[in-house]
Amino acid sequence: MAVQPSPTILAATVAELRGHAPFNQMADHVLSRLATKLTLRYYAEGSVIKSPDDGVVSTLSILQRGHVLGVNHSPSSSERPLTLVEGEMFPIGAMISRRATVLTFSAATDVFCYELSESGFAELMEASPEFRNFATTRLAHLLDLSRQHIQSTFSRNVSGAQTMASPLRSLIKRSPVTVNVATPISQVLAMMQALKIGSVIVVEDSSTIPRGIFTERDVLARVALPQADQSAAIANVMTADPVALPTTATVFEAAKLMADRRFRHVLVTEDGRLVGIVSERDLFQMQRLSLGEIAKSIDRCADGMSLAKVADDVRQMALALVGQGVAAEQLTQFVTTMNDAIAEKAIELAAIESPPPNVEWCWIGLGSEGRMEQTLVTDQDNAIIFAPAVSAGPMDIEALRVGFLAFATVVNRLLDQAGFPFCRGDIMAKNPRWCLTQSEWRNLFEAWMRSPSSLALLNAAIFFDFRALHGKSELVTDLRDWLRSVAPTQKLFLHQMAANALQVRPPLGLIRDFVDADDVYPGTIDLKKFGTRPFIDAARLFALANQVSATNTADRLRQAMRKMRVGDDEISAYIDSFHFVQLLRLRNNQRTTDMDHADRGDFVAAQAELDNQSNAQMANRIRTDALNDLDRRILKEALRQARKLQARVEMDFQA
Amino acid sequence: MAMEWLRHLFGNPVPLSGLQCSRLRAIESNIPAPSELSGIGLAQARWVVADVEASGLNVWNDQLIAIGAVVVAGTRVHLGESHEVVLRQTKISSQDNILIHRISGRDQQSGVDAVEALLAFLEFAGNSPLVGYHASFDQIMLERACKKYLGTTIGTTWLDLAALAPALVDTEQGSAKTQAFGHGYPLDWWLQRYRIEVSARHNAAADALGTAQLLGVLLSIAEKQGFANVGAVLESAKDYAWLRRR
Repeated sequence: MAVQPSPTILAATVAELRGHAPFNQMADHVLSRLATKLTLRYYAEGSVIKSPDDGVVSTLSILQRGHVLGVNHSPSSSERPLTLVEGEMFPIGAMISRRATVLTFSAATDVFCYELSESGFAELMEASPEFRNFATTRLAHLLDLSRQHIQSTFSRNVSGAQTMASPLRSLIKRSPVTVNVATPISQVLAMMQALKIGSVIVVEDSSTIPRGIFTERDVLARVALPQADQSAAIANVMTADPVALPTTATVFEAAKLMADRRFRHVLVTEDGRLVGIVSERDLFQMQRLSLGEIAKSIDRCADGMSLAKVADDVRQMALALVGQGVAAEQLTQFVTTMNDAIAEKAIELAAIESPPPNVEWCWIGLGSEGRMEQTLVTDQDNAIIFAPAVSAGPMDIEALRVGFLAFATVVNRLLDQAGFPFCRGDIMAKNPRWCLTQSEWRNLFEAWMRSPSSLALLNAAIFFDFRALHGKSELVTDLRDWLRSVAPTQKLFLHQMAANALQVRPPLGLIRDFVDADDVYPGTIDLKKFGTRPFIDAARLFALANQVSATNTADRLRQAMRKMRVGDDEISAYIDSFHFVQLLRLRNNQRTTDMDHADRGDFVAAQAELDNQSNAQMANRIRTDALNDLDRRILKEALRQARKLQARVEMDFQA
Repeated sequence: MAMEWLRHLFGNPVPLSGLQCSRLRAIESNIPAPSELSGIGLAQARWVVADVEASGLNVWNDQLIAIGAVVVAGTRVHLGESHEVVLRQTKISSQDNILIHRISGRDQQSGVDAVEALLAFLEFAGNSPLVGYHASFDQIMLERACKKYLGTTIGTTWLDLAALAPALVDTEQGSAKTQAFGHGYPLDWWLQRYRIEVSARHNAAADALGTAQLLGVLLSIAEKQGFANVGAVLESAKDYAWLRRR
């Protein structure tokens, strides 16, 4: 039947759509065409429009009249219900990634919805850049969806489980017990005994601004042993200015804070006012392995073997966190914090076995360790800087070096035992080339910058991300300050470094999503080479050129690009993109490490095909067709951001 | 020959072409028997909501000017499966009438040939029952036009939402307000009740769209009330109309 649809009806539909974004930006003919594909359906108040039980969604709804409520019914969710108003579309994320919706959508009033079929949706994505943009490039929004998706998968597996990404608010069960600063110690102890509580918060008068905390452990150390006067005010024995986090901070942040600073309690405040207290025990109940436990067991390690066991716990913990949808930035921070602690312990143990010479020195982390971006598969990249006495001659310096090398050899060995394999390029402190005095480091760096051979550039990319790990950190700070002042003047070096950075181009295709750039493993992308490296290289360049000391890629981008007068939104898009690729790498690490767990997700089947390849080779490689649609789109967008960043590098350094 | 004679009687100026005759036969043979129609489940049913504009409100003297129609399948209004046509008029309707439907004299003269317009509409409707609000007006106007231009009526089944709506939804029929309406509530009352907005009231297609949305509402209510098939819905409307006449 070759009858034209009614122009009046199409025009009325187009007019209705035009009232809302992104339709108000779309071309007339696209909207008219869209109108012919739509159906209009009524839902009585209270009826369910879409729910997770429907399975993979097959229609996109555009709310024409009334209000719709989106509610997450999973037991672990603390999300507030979402109210959708006229013109809003749902569920876009599920539609793009062809999965079931996470939220249950129901009619809050009598509702009319336009509905668009899967094929109509695909056609619209193709025909309208505005719509596509609206649906896909709201990166932050999409990343949220992706995270929600991971979390919902996790909470389906472990029903009712709280995730490390939940807000602290969800852990607070009762309001905290407070006492006045002037309350006598004896009264406080009696009260703790009567109420069977392990801690009290000390406040001033009737205010709820916390001044201190007093816990069970303090009784022994500050009251019983020193035989303190129990009629004295509690203020004398409390821990003043206790650490507090806002209610919106995640469980993970609290756990990390406790682990880092060896606290057992963290106060929870809202607008500075006390609303609760979270103890390590609260967190421990959620998590078989607690961060604090790991930190403490690192402290207790006495040899390389026990360090290896703890390092393994760190990896297990990180895997669990990946599964719970903890963000990449926090995860890499966690891995770095724990690896730092392990390295420090190794240094401490080595110093007993082979003490370093008695001059100032500092252990340096390089590469991803220096940038605080370690993922699960990490080899060693380290060095030593030391400061001989001003009067020391060349022979004295060589003698010192011999001493440091013996010490470093032990550290490197312990780390290897702990699961951080030797660096294949021999970039380790036990290598005499990387065990240098302050002036030797400067001379070396200067030589690299003055004649930037390809080897010098390669070295600079690793060494210029140096960071103090243990020892006299001022030595490292001095070196950094010197580099910061010298680097911006080294135009040729920066130009060469930029050219080097631009050699690798993200494999984005015009027709297909990704160009098959890999000959050895077809259909895969090396996420390290093509995904994270463009961001890391650009960030390093911008930092060096703009006198920024930071080594972390996100920090570098934020600080340097602000100086370059790039807008905050644009900077955030770069950083979000970088973190997304990192997250994919982490998830991939998880899968390559954990191949026998078949329920881990989409990658497994694809990875199994490549099972004969070694894990190390596969760790940074993903099969693009094994990604779900949502992740594929975000990856595509992230690589597009990488290209944009490269264009900026090209422009700024005439590379 | 008999057809020729009939057409003369009803004043058809131009006889149908061979192609038009065979199209008409195809349309007629496509119309389902009432029993066949009744058995179709509500989820599978396809309805065509139609609205007509005429030169006035006198069903026996006024001329059919425009037809608008849209498909409802299941409970969904299919916006792309819609149809609208203005019939070419030899005599332009009055100024007052034009002000209602806003089809200008020129548009009326440049409309589609009546035979072609009717055949296209009937082909669009296919084997689906037709639906209207106060449908008897639309039904008679269309049947008269068919008789005049095609020489025959088609015998399509009609559903009147003015009867189905109060049959399904409690409207406090006893109230004074209802009495005042006499014929029951006007379409606008129902549209307002369900917040259905019509872009251009008294435009055949726009009215058909509003009426189709109302049908979508009523069918989903019917589903909820346990109506099994098309027959049950048609019966319900018929019973209500009969009761009200009493």
